[in-house]
Amino acid sequence: MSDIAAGLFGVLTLGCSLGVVFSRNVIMSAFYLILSFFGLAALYVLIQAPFLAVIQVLIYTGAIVVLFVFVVMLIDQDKLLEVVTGKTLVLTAGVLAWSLGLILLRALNHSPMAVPVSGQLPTLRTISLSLFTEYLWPFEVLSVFMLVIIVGVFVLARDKVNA
Amino acid sequence: MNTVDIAILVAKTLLFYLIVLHVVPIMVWVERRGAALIQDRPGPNRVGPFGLLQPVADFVKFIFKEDPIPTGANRGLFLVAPALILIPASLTLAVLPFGDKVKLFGREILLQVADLDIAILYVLAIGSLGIYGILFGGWASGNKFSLMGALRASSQVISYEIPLGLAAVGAVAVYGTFSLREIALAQDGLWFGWLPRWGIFLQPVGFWLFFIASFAETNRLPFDLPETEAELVAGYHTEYGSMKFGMFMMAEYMNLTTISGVMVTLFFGGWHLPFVADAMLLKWIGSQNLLGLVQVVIFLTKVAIFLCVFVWVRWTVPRFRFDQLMRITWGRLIPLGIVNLLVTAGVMLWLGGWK
Amino acid sequence: MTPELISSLKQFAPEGVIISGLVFLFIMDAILPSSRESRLPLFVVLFSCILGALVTIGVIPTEASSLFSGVIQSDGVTTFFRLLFFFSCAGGTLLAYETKVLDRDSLSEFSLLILCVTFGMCLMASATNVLMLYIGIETVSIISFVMAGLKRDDARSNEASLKYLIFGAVASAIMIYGFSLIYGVTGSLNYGDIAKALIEGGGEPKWAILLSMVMVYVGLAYKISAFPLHFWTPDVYEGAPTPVTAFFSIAPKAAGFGAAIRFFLCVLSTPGEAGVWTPMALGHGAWTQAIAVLSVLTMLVGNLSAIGQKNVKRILAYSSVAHVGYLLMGFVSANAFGVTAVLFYLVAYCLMNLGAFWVVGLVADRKKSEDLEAFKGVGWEDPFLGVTMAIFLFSLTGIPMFSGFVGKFLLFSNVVQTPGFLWLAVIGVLNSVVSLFYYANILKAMWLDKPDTVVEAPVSSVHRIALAVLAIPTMVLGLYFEPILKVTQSLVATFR
Repeated sequence: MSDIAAGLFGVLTLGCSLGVVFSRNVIMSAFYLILSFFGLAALYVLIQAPFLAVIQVLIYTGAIVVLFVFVVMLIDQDKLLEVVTGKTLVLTAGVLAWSLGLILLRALNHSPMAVPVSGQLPTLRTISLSLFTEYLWPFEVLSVFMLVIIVGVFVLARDKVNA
Repeated sequence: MNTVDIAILVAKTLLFYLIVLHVVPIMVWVERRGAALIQDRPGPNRVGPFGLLQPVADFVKFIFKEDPIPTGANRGLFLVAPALILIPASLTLAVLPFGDKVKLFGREILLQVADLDIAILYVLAIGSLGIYGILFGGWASGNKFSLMGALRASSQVISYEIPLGLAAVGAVAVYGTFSLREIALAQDGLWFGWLPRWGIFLQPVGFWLFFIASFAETNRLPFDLPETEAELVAGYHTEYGSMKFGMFMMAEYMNLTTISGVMVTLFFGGWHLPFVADAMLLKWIGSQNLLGLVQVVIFLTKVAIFLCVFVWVRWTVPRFRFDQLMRITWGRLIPLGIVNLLVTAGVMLWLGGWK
Repeated sequence: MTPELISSLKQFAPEGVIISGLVFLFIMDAILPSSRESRLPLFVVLFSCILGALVTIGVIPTEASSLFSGVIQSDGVTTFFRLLFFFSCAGGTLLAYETKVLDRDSLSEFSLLILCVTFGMCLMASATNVLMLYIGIETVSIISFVMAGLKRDDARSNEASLKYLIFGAVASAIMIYGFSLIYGVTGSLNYGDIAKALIEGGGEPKWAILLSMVMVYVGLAYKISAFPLHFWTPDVYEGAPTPVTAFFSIAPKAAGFGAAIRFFLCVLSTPGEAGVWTPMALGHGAWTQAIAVLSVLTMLVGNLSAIGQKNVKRILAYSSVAHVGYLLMGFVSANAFGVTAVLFYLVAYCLMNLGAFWVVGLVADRKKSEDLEAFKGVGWEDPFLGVTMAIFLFSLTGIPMFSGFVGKFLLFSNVVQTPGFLWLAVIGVLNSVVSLFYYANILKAMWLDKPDTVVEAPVSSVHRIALAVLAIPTMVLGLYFEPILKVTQSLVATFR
């Protein structure tokens, strides 16, 4: 049962990703992106990571893609459609992507995957505990990083200051 | 998961969905009569006693109205947008705890469609998807005013998601769980023999933040700049006629109901009767199943009170300008939310130590 | 606060100084209204860097210790890189404040951004956990994107920032996919545990490991601009403001090398006796062979592409790619001497490159252009600039009696001592000869060509002092390199 579901959601994710790449209209690309993120969230649920699924929807679909869509909507639509795609480009990209995919498939099928260390599924409690004990330092460092990111955004996006 | 379980699940879903669906026409009536009451005029009173059949008349009108699609519109997205806003509005209902349990068919059935461990996160996540209906609807209309309305609405919604989340996290910190059912269960009983154990007494500031943010999340006055009649015609749903417009309205009222439901669960005791403990109520009523029904009624009453408050505020208060709106959330509500979280954590540490 | 946390924080004090400087700048910029025009941020940055360097020397660890539950390792190599980064940060900020490239109002943000990049780089060079490495890389990368685009009215700056961003995002995505594959196969994010799992896994070529290491290489190669991820370098270096380019060409590259040293020697090698690592076999040979091939390709691409360039910043960009090729040679031996050679060369390279870009910045200030044309006759206009540029360029080529030569000598001798890599040393020497061509091109323009327009612009004393500070060690280290070498060797001795 969960195999069928995994297959269906996998197809959804992949199909929508193809839609993102091949769609002529950028807003439709964003829409397909949302759907493919949904498929991804469903796959997370199927591998027993519901927290990750909800966070995926909340942050990726609910915030990041919204900002994408903002920007795309404010751009002149006619200029957007002058996208350069030649047949050779698409063909080359397709061939490369296929070969990478095949290599990945071979790699993932022929290598032993490790079992999780504790042997039990992570709950919300274990995730938050590890974030504050084992991975405390990356967590704290990120706060400095985010502070400076805000300054960086301000630098890039502010109006010219008249001297 | 055998057939009986699936049947029960389907029945529960249908039942609760239909309950909330029926809130929509009732709200239409309450809105219009409430507006009339506050504005000292009669309001709709032609169709049925007290105008109670007005929503039915509206619905019939919607069915027979022309459903135009503007020429410059992107057909696909234009048609999909109302669905995009209705689906998240419906999905969030799944985690509202309408009541405790009933015993039927030899098993205990929770009066909640899905008891998730991460229910609050789920509500926030799916709630944030409602923006897309607005965004795509506004853009696909091919109308500059709609686009402006859509962009304003979505930036407002994502800005106010943050204080909403911060307030919810305060409640989560106090109760130690993300699950709405457990939070509701924890609000049973009385303190000092007379005070109900409601969340609002533990997190008053959190409730205030959540309350304000919920106005902005559902685009209700005083935060309804995106759909103001005077400024933007009708904002992002200008070009939508008849049933599509009806779907936008439905989605708005369902969102209202869901957020009221979450507020009731987090801060006002969920399905518990104010000054009576659940055990005592069970003794009075006798049967568990009847108790379940009473709990659903209590929950819906509390939600109804909140809905009336929403209507009341709408027709009383003037609306905010967009920059005032943004300043409120980024400059006041978010710092307040963070301070609330700090104080909550500090008090919990002082009282209980590490747990 | 657990005792482990407190002792870790004590070891982390130098980065703490940088963070305090950063926070202080942030608050100060908000409180003081006139701080836009003042040079206070410059002094804050310089003070933080000097204080940080002093604290680093104060907490030099006598043995390697793992901090913060194993995400960071504090040992001699960390100390070395911290000092290098603080020096580069101070140099870059001074260059930014002294030239007229950046607007006055961008400068206080520049100081903040450069402090944050320094912090990120310290994390990168000391990370022993894949997650921490990624956070360090992203901190450096994203803030670098912003720094490259600081001149908002210059289209080339915007182009540089955008190109850096797009390619950097793709490279980071590939790298983190590699990290996820590593986690899947080994079950851990810590370098030590990964290495243990890889050793226990056995010898047959594991496709997933090979693929994931290739992907991680892609990410690291982007940071150090090694082949094949070098293509962003000329565009970004040319477009970004000169002080930013000067900083990019030394510090993030050094940080990338620090990360690469730790990753390749801690994850992909088994430690042997006294500073010798046995590189792990991936596929049909050890990874050292792959690094050797990549090193050759990087050198060739860098040197050959630099020949036809007309813009001095692009020449220097391609030359930095070539230098990365030389530096990669230090990895083929996988022993402490190789690491020492790399570190020594990084010191020399830092001095030379910063000096070269400094001169470019000064010339661009007066001639408003960075092409070779603008350099014509600068040697006669201002002999000081001409002489110092000659020192830097000779050192970059690897002419004896300059520090560049000593660095290259150490790298080549390291390669020669490793069995089976003699060809690499030969190709390296040939490449150095080729590089003489384009460096001499610049010198020819400066000393042997007549300028189109003579611009009299006296160079301030700050510049003279700074250039002297950079040029004198470049010459001195060519002859008297024993102390630095000894210090570096002792620092590397603590590396596990």
